[in-house]
Amino acid sequence: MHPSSSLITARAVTRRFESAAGDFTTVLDAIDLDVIAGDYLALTGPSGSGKTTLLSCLSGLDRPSSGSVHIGGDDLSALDDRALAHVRRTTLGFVFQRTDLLDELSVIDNILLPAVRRRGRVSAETLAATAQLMDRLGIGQLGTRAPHELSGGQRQRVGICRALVNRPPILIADEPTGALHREATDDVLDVFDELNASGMTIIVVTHDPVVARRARSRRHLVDGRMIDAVPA
Amino acid sequence: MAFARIRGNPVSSVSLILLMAISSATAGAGVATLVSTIGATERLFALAEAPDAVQMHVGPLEAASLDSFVATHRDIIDDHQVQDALQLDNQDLRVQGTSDAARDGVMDLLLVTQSPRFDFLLGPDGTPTNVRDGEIAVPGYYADAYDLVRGDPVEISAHGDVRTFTVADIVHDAQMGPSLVNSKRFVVSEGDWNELAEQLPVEHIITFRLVDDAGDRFAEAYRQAGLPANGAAVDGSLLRLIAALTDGIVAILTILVSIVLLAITMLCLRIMVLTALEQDARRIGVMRAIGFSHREVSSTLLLGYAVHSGLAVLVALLLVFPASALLRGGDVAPSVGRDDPGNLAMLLAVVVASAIPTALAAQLLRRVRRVSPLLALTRPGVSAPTRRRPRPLRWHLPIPVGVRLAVRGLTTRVTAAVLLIVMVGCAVALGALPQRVTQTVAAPDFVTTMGVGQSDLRAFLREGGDADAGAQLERSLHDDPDIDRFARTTSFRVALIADTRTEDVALEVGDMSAFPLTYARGDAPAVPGDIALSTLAAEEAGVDVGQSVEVDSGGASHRYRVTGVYHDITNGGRSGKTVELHGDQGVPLWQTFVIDLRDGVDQRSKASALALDHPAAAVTELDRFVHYTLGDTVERLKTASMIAWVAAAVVMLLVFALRGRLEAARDESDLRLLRLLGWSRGELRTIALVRSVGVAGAGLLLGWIATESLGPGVLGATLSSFGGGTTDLVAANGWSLITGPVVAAAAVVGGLIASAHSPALLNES
Repeated sequence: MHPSSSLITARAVTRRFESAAGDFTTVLDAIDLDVIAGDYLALTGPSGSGKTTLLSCLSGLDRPSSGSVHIGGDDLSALDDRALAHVRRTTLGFVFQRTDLLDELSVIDNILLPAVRRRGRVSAETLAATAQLMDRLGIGQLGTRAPHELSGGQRQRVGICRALVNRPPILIADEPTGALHREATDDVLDVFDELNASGMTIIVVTHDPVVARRARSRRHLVDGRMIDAVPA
Repeated sequence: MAFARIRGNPVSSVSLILLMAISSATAGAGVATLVSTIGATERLFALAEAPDAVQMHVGPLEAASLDSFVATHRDIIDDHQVQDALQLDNQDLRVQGTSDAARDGVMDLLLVTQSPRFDFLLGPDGTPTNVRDGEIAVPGYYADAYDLVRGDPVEISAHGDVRTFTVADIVHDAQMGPSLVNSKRFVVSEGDWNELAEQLPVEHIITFRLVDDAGDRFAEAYRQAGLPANGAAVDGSLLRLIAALTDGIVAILTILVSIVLLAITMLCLRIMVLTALEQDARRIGVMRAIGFSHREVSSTLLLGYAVHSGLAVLVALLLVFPASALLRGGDVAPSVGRDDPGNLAMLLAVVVASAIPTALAAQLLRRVRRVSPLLALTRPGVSAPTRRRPRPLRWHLPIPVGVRLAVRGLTTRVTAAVLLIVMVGCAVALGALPQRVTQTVAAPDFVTTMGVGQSDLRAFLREGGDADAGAQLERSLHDDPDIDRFARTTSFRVALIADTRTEDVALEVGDMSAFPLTYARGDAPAVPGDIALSTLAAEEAGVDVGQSVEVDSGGASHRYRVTGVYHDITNGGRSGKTVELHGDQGVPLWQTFVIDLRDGVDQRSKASALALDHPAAAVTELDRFVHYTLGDTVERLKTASMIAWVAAAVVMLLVFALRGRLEAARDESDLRLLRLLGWSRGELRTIALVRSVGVAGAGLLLGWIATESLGPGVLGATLSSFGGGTTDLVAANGWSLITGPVVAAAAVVGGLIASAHSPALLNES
């Protein structure tokens, strides 16, 4: 993939929600956005500005009320559930502020699950890379633990490892460091920098100016509209 | 709040209500059938003033000797009477234009007048029926068989002289009403009876009313007096057993079904309450945080289950009346002028069965006190988190990841999985066991467990008729190319002498090896000096296999070794079998020929031909004998087992749909996570399907084992009314092969219904 080509393209993306009373609330209003391959984009804005909704539309987790989103040339609105699942499996990695883990699996099995789902097995390289990443994020010794034994920060780092286990071309992160202390935040951001340097496209939603400053580009949303484009 | 909860999750609520309603309605129907059976039998016997001892007799009868016997035994005999009955051939009875020839040799038809002092034949109002000239009162068995109502014509032909009677009543006969009793009494007027008596042979029904507990002393005294005994002798306790049996089997089966259903409902409710509590943990935390005590929270939640129970009672009341009507039937006592106690018991059973799940919910909701407001808000859950770490998955094994997750989901919540498997196992057994029992009772071989050898035809010659008839029939069978093989036995009245008393039994003498019975214990008598006894005869003589018993025949007694014990509902339940009778053979009662035909020979036409050539013999095909005696019981067992099967399948569908929905709601975040990691909705449904199939498969295996191991016990318990024991189930075939799998499949379908909805893919951050 050429670094300068547009990997994610959003055109006139509008998202409205209907209230119980039948009123419509417009959360995103005709957003246009191009994310080029290899970009590291921070979406910022106050609470309720539509950052998370935009991220959900860009990654196919939610469908816009109108407008279109393309990933690598695929129109997400034209894909069925099976095809969207394939996109999530092969192209995207997700990190959210609250990390859900399967209680019936150990930490390492939770991390390896996407790799097994994608390829049906776990290669030696994947195991080695995962162990290295876990060490890097300070959770190398937690692999055999049960999810309920982890703190909030540890869960978050497990979630990051899981999102990266398949080395997806695009990383979608929503407040990825919200549950982390400063030192752990720096570790995560260092990893993001390295991944981005190796070609991974990263879109991160954050309130944290430290996180936003580490991105290459930045978009700011207020009341569902993109009001500026600030280079990182 | 309770109604809001039902509105909020209608599928789960409706499933739970239906589940409670089905188990309650089944309990109600079973109890109603049992209570009305027991009540009706007792009431029938009281109103009819049923006899305590009956002796059938063909041949001359001296009233004076009977009167003198009674006069000398006033200490044990309250009253006695002799009812003269006219023997009518089945082909000489025409009902609704159809001859009754089909029951020839199965049902003996007796024309009687109303009894003078006791042993009444009752009309629908519970009083002794009385008919005028030209009228006839028909037994309930025949009214059911031919759909007879008052006013219908019945034709009776006596030596070509055809008379038409009008049905005046349907009678309830305590003594001969049940289909298992092979004689049926029709009541005609005295004038008609006298005219018919000029053309039809007479049989005497000698009946006695005894003082309490005098049955044994009476039998002994009657035997010693050498009074007329050319026919079957039956005592009151056996009459009651036979009367209660037909309805009793169905009632016992239905109650067993309802107990299992209730158990399933309780297991389901347990899972449901706990799952709902997990799901509600955050809300419970909020309620606790804003000042509700755990008691108030529990009460609020309990009210929801109480509302479900209340609605279930209403639905159950709609179901229970038709269900119990289907299960009840037979010649029950007239109920005019009295409330049916079965209905009250039924309503009580419905209410209690519906309340039990609420009581269980109350018990389970005590767990609410475990939920601290802080924990519920930060880490919702009411179950104590497991301390165990999950075992690592062996990713190198070539097992699809969906299967791994399905299995891991089951093994992580092993208690719930085991409960589900047990539930399916119960339901499979519930569906399959009654079918197998019914199939076993309906099988031709079943009569071999009831004192009758398995053969194509049976010919029965009563002594007192043509003395040469037996020999003629034997010669005829010998020369008949249609006959494959036959065996002849002769029955004698002999006395078994026990330590304390003596009892009369009908002893069948001849080769017992050709058409063997199924023996409860031991084997058939093989050599002279061996004897096999019926269960009742052995019990009353106080002997068992391997012991010896003294047999008195014609005044001389000889010792025999008991080689086997078998169940017998013929001959008043008291009989014996031996190869050779030592000494004076005493009073012969009848001869029996058991006959097998060559392949391809039509049983029905051969029986008719033999009956025509040998008028002294009553010839019956065994299939027809079974059909007309056990047919009614089998039909109602079929109904009960069909209800049980359908209930089991519906309950499984509901349980798995209900439990699956609740589980999906509880595990919503897990399902959303899997979708996020690349599972499609279809693939998530596959995981749920694998789980359901695993549970249903294990449950099917468990249910199959339970059916095969419990089946003989259940059937034996039913037969124990006759003093029987365990009986092997016939091999599964036809419907019974698919009952279990269908119930298990219903569970899988329920699981699929529950997994039809999967959570939206939203980022909850």
